[in-house]
This record gives sequence, structure tokens and C-alpha cells, in this order.
Amino acid sequence: MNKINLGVGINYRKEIADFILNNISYFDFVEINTERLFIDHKDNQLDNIIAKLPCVLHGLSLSLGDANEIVESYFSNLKKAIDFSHCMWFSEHVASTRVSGIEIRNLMPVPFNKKSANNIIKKINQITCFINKPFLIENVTYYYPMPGSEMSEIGFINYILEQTDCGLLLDLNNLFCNSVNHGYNALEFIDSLPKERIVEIHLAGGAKIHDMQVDTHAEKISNNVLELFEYCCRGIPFCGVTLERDSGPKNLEDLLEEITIIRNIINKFKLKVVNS
Amino acid sequence: MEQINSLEHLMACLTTHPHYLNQVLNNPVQFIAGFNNLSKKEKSDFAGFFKTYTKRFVAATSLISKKRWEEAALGLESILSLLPETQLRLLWDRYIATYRLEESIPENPLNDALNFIEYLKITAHFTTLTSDFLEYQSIKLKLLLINEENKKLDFIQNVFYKTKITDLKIRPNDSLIIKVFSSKISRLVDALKSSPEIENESNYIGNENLAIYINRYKKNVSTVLLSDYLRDLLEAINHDNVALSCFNKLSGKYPLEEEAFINNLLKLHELDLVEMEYIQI
Repeated sequence: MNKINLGVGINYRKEIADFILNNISYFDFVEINTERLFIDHKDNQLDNIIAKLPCVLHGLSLSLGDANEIVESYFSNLKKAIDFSHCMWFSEHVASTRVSGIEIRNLMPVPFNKKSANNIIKKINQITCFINKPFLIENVTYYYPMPGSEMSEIGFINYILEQTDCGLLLDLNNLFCNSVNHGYNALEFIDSLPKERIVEIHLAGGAKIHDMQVDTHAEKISNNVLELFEYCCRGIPFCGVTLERDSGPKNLEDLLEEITIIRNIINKFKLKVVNS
Repeated sequence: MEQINSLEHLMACLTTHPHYLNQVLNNPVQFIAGFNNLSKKEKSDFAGFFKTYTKRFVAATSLISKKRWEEAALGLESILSLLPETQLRLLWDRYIATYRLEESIPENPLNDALNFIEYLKITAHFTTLTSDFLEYQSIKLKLLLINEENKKLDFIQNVFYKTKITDLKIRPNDSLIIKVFSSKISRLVDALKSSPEIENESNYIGNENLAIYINRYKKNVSTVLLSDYLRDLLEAINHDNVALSCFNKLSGKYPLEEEAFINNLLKLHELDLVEMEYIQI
């Protein structure tokens, strides 16, 4: 894809819509849950934000890991969402939210093996053929490797990237959680990725729950994750970074503080994107 | 078990139905043995997985279970105020345990909340006030789901001026549900807004007619307290869309004047309870 510098964005949720509108100059773009636009969303604040800021779409229900075919209605809804939002790109998780008709309503990991990767590759190719926007896949938090896994997480992701022309949305909190829970080195993971394919970065907070590092999206970004972000800024010409927060904070001004911290790291360390 | 066609399928079922986990943890090999559509390798992978990752899997499913409750609770609204949360959680656990292993949970958490209310209505014994309130919330949730799922209702958005009764056709809002409750639900809803504690249930004894509907002006589910006359009027409109016929029908029961009747229709139209059209000559 042509490299653009979208800057620093935030994920949209209705509870903070007014806050975003009142502080619009803090944000360079907004990330919108794709499925929100699958229905007649009746959300004037969102329409107002889209009119003022560029946006990217982030999906939850594609269920790349499901062996079943993508249903026709998904394609028509996706087209509707893309046409409406004029998004810069569209992303989805390397996970399953539905398997053989069973709704999971959460991101279930996929087995890291060739069969599962090839199924995902087929779906990515269908999506990229269908939409005229860049498509990105996101690494997810997984608390256990699914039975049937035969590859490492990095091997699995890189195999998919090699076989497709999609981009990567690198979620650094997911990476941090996985590195803690599965005992690997997050920096080595980043070094093993094809850097030119990393388009977007997600930053979020997590917490230690049940003796696991959990991706909650309910806390502020940890210093560990900010250090990973600084590392990425030094070596990766990504196009945009999104602060993801699904609940809180009590004081919404804290979000602006986090945006400022992210921006300062970018200004200090980021490789400049060269338009091509 | 015959419906489970892959290991991922089974893992998805276990992820969403943690009440089956005890059977797995007691003996994974015995549990998986009955799944005839799974290969030997899949069965071996499954048993191996639970040798190593039992603790992680149980922890992850408990996070998902907690989230499922929290999402449903958003749709339960004031029911959470009316019943002690510990009692409700216990009943919730019983509700989710009714799911068979191969059965999908609803895609929309509001459907989960609605199913739970329906479960409560059938299985638990509550006071008349609580039962009526469950019925009220059930109707509201059904309409919310229609509204959310974007099943568009035909909508003629006209401005009406006072006219002759012979010129008008009327029909009710497609989503309108009129329900007679044996408790004063509107008073209860108001009371719950200011205090989550209901001190004296006897304050809410008495019949009440409520109109519950998708208000297309406000784009939400609205409730209107109806007098007996307005209830009869809406029911008359439901049977006959000619204003004059409704007037004639009701004037036998209520002392009506034509102008006041038209004003009533305009008020119902303003609330989006009815649609009106001029009769084309």
C-alpha cells in the first residue's frame, strides 16, 4: 500500500463520542468497529466525527479462523460500511468469533498449523479481492495454544503474510500479554516480522488476572507496552497508531494524557514515513 | 455429540458452555471418546491439551463467562435493582446451564438478556409486581432488538392540520404493543429511577394500560400510560383504519365530540403511536 502517515487515533465508542468531538484536535483519526456500520446506526455523533476525521475500520465478526465460508451478507454489509465511512483501511483479528455456527462472542485463538493458516489465507484473499481498501490482520492475545497447534505464533503469522498481500496490525499489548504468558521475547518477535508490512499499531492496557496477563482494554497503557512502542518507532515505518480503550477511565482527560505520551514518543523516535 | 465436526468446533462449545468443563476435567480421554466425528489425532490432541493447559483454559473461560453476564446485565436494567444480585446471579447460572453443549449462545447479548427473562418468567416464583415488571422488560427488549436489528418499519412522516373526521385514515405504529398490567409499572419505573430500593410493593397495586412501541421520532423504545379511553381508541384503530368508523364505535361508550376526537388523534400522531393519512377522493 502507499504509505501514508495517519498519526494517532482512538477507538470510537458511544460513551466517549462527545469527549472526542470536544477534543477533536487531539486526534488524527478514529477507529470504528466495522459491525457498528452494518446496521442503520442512528448515531449522529459518529457521523459528525467521521465528517471531521479520517477513519479506519476494525472488525470483530469476520471470524477468519472459522472453516465455514464467509456468508454473502457479510460482504454486502462490509461494502456498505466501507462506502459509508470512506475508511483508509480495514482490519480483522487472526481468531475465531464463530465456529461451525457456534457464536463465541469473543476472540478464540486458532490452531497454529498449516491447515488453519491456509483457511485464513483463502479468506484474506477473498476479502482483498472484494474490497478496494488495504486489509490488515491483527495478532491477538491467546491464553493457551489451541490443540492441534504445530507452529509458533510468529511462524504462523509470517506464513500468512508471505502467502497474502495484506498488511499487519501489530497490537503491542497483545504481544506483551503473549510474551509474558508464553515466555517469549517480545522484541525478538518484532524483529522477526516483515517490518514493511506493519501498517497500524494498537496500544492498550491490561491487568494480571488469574495469574495471567490479560488484555482488558480497561487500564492505561503499561510502561512495558510503551517501551515496545518506542522500539517499534525506532525501526518501523507504520502509518498510524490507535489507542484502544473499551471502558473508563473515570477521568476522560486521562485519555488525552495518553495520546500526548504516544505523540511524544512518535516525535522523538519514529522513522519518517516517505510517501511512495 | 454427533453434531461436533472438528476439534475447533468442540473448543468453541466448551469455551461458551463452561458448565461442561467438570466432565472434561474429570477425565478428558473419557469425555472425548464419544465424539465419533473427531479423528484419533484430534482426540489425542484434545487429551494432551488438557494435560498441559487446564488451568489456563478454565481461567480464560471464566473471563468469558463474566463478560457474558456483564453484557446481559446491560439489557436487564432495573431488574438488577428489583432483585438481589446474588439471587439473580444464581438464577443466571441455572439459565446458562440449560444450554446443550452443541447449542450456540445468542450472537446479540440483548437476546441473551431476553432469553434469561423468559427463563425467569417460567421457572422462578416472584411477586405479582416483579412478574409484571419482567413482562414489561421482556416486551421492551423485544422491541429494542427489532429496533437494533434495523427491521425498518414503514413510516409516513407527515404534518397534519385539523381537518374533518371524514378526511382521515389512521393506523397504529407497526411495533405498538398494548398491555394491561396488574401493577402500576409506570410508577415503579419512575421510582426505580430515583431509588433502587422498593420499600412497599403495595404502593404499586392496581391495573395500568401501557403502550410500548418503537418511537421512530426518538429512535428508541417508548412507553406511554394510557387511559381506558385511549386504549379503546388504539384498539379500535387496530381493527378499522377509517377515523369516522372509530369515532362511531367509541361514541357509543364515551361522550365524544368530533373536534376533541381529532385532537386525540393528532396527539397520538405526535407521540408516533399512530400514522395518519388524508383520504384521497
